[in-house]
Amino acid sequence: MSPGNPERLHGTLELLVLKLLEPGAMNGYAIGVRIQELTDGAVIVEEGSLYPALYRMQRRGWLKAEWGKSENNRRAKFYRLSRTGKRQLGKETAEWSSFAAAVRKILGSG
Amino acid sequence: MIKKLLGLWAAIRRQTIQQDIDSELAYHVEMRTRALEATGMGAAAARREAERRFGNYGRIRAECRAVMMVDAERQGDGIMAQFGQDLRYAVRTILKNPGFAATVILTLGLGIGANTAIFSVVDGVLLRPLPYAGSDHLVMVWQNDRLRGTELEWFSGPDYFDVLERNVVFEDLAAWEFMGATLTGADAEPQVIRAARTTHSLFRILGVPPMLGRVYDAEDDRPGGEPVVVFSHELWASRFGSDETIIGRRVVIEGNPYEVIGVMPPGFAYPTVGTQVWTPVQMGPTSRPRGNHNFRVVAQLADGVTLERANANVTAIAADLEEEYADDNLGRGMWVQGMLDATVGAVRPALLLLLGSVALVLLIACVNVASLLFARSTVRQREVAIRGALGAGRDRLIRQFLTESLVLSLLGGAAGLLVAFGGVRVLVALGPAALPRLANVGIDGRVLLFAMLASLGTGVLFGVLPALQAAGADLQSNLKEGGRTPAQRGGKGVRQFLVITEVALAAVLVTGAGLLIQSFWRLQAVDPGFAAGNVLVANVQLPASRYPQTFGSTDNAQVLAFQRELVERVGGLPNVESVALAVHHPANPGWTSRFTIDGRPPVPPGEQEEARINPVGRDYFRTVGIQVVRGRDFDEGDRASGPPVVIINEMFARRHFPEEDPVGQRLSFWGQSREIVGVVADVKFRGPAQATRQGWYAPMEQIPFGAFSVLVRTAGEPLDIAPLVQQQVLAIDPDLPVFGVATLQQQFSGFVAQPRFNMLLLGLFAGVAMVLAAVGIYGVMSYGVNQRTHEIGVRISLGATAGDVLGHVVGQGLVLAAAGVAIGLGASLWLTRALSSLLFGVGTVHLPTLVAVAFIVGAVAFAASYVPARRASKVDPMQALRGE
Repeated sequence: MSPGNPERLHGTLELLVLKLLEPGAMNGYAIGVRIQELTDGAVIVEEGSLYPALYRMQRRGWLKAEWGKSENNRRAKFYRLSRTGKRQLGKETAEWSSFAAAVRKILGSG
Repeated sequence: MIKKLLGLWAAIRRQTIQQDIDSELAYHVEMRTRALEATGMGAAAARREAERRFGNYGRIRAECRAVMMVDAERQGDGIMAQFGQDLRYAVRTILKNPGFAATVILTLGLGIGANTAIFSVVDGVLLRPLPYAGSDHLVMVWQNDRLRGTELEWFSGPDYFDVLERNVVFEDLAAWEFMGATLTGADAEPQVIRAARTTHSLFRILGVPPMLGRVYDAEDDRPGGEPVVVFSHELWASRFGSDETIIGRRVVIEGNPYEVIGVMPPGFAYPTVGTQVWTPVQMGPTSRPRGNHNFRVVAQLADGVTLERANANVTAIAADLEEEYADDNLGRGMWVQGMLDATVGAVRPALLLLLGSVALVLLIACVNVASLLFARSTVRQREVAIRGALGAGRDRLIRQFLTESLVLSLLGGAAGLLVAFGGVRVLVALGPAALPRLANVGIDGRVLLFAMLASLGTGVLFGVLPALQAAGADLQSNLKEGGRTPAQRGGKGVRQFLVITEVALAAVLVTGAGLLIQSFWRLQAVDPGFAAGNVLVANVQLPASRYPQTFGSTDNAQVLAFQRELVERVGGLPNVESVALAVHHPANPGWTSRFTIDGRPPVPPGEQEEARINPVGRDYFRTVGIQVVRGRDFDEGDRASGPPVVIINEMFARRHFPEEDPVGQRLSFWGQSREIVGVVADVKFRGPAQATRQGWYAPMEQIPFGAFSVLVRTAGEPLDIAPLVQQQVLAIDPDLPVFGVATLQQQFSGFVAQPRFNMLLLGLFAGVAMVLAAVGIYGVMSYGVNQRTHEIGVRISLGATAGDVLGHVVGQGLVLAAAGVAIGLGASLWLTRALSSLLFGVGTVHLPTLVAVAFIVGAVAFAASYVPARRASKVDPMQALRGE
């Protein structure tokens, strides 16, 4: 599967970040590594492109960021979901599911 | 200046954001490099590969920066401009609706003003430190008497010296006693002055230096020292025209010459307001008997000594003294009390209660304004929706609403200051004379600060809810449906909640006021045991230098001669029905003394009782209206040379002669046995709230005193003859002042001045609270009627009569009020416990008061909803339906 158009890419990346942060806080590098592992590099082409997305989500109030110590005891910035972020995750998950279901129906792969 | 600071702040913030981004991105690249190295790649190669995978570093960095900076720019440079916009917008909005603004400002002005006024009293009386250097180290040292259960007992001279000697907790101690004093000579009328005899250490402890000359030192304050005197600024100014050559001059006090050595600065008035002279007590450790308790003791705690430690120390000393001097000190302990506490402790509960009550009034005012804003914010939902659609963020909308609230509350605060300026004057005028430090009360920086904080606090308090509601409403649906949305129904619920809250608060206040009114009535209804109407009281004090007085002797010829002549002269004045002398008038507690009843087994020391003693002249009982219930009144035969007699009060008779006739029995005091010749009615000489005490009266001729009251029952207004009485005194002795002239009624009502003050103020607050609550109910009901014009029109066209509509609307108002009253009465059952120490003859739970409160609040609610209900009943259905 190729990356598709940028807008869908944006939305997908954000949904994935929200999902990843649901259990707890992570730093930017760890988020990037997890997404690449899980999607085989389908969503993130340039690793750095994750950061503008993280900052945008922070600006919208979905994420909270604070500096802390990473597992190897280095100073790193950690992101976690805000209450709005949790709501957003629920909303986007639902939208995505219905979207995916619709597409699947049309493609007849159900 | 502010702009520069904001600019600087924005620059710093930009810097921080840039650094944040850089270190986060660098961290990523570094971590990736390490991960690649771990797979066996060389350091340089790993670094290159990490950078490649990261992508275009410069572009990504710029993109991150752009996302974050939008916010920084807005917060930094724009914040002042935004505030300016919000302010202008707020002022425009307020000006657009002046009626609304006036209501809000008036409501807040009342609330903030009343609070500021009461705060100024609380601040001046309770909170400010005493005007002495190191006043937080100052304490009073008291004795107590376990046998009599009294706590505020004075010291004897020897006890004071023992504490001075033995204590390890005080830096310094001073003792003082009051001295009755007449200042004569100096080419002016004789004048009774307030004088204190003190140890020289007093001025050192208080740390107040004289304004002129010097204060007395150890050399002046020794037995046999020169008589010297220090004047108050007030006496120096009023009687000596602020003449600086006064120092070194001699004045005559109580017939003795004193040298004036100093003048204190204005405002110095220890121990009481109006103290005019201080002289050294000139006492040695044994120059006074240990059994005479004349002295109050003030001390300065040594550094680092707590009240507890000081208490422990004096308690131990007292215990030692009890052992060493069992005869005089049995049962006498000692304790220490902070000086501020000693000065104002008695009025603290009442003042705090008033402060609490007035805070409730402000709370009601806030609720009222919140409710008004709420109603309006519903109306303004469309406006908000448009502003939201045009790009105003939620926080921006909230900020803008709050700006408006704060502008309103500050205007309210300004109005409140006007109220407070007037209110403080009224409070000081109304304040009971016994309220200490009342002269301290005024509007100053602290009070202004309070008013300012109260205004800002109220602004936030009443502004936040409507702002959140307005900004939180679903913008889209308001735009679409033009403001008729579920949000409005929610708003109605909140408004009803607010009305219920304010009715409840008002009910609490009205209940408190009701209880105070009840207890004041009961105080007024107490039979004092004498007829205070039309009786004049004037006091005279014969100086011992010209009227020799030997305590306990009947051979005080000059005193007796003066008294006889005075009674004769005053008795001859027009409109005088009767005249009598007494050492204590009926509203003067006087003093008590021990006694024994002849023929009864001696009472062990420590169990001896005391009774109030009052030597009175002939016709005393008739003049002040005390009934003789058994035996006889004093008469012509009860002279100095006649057999010693005494008349007891009913309390004394009940206590000591429950089974037998007291008349004919004998009792002894001051070394003399006296026959009981009569029993008179009890008198509430300690005030109506106090329990009746046992006491007795002896003929003044048999126990002559040079200090006494003249009591005159008149046919008309008693104060009218006051100057005539004064003339008669001066006619006998031109050097004698008359002082403390008042009616007996005034003297007695002094006892209820504090309860009256409490009642008046709480009543006033309750009244304001009711008015505010009424405005609240009215506002909500008429708003509801306006909103429902359409529905009402439909009802009427479907056949509802005007009466139906009226009943419906009024019913709704009453339901709200009933809910509020129920909650308020419930809360008051708990809250009025704070009142218990201020009540007399009525419990904190008083059913008739509760019923009355429910009725009054109900009536007000009815009136407040009746007007909008009438408007509703007159809705023209055709117009209402067409108007849709």
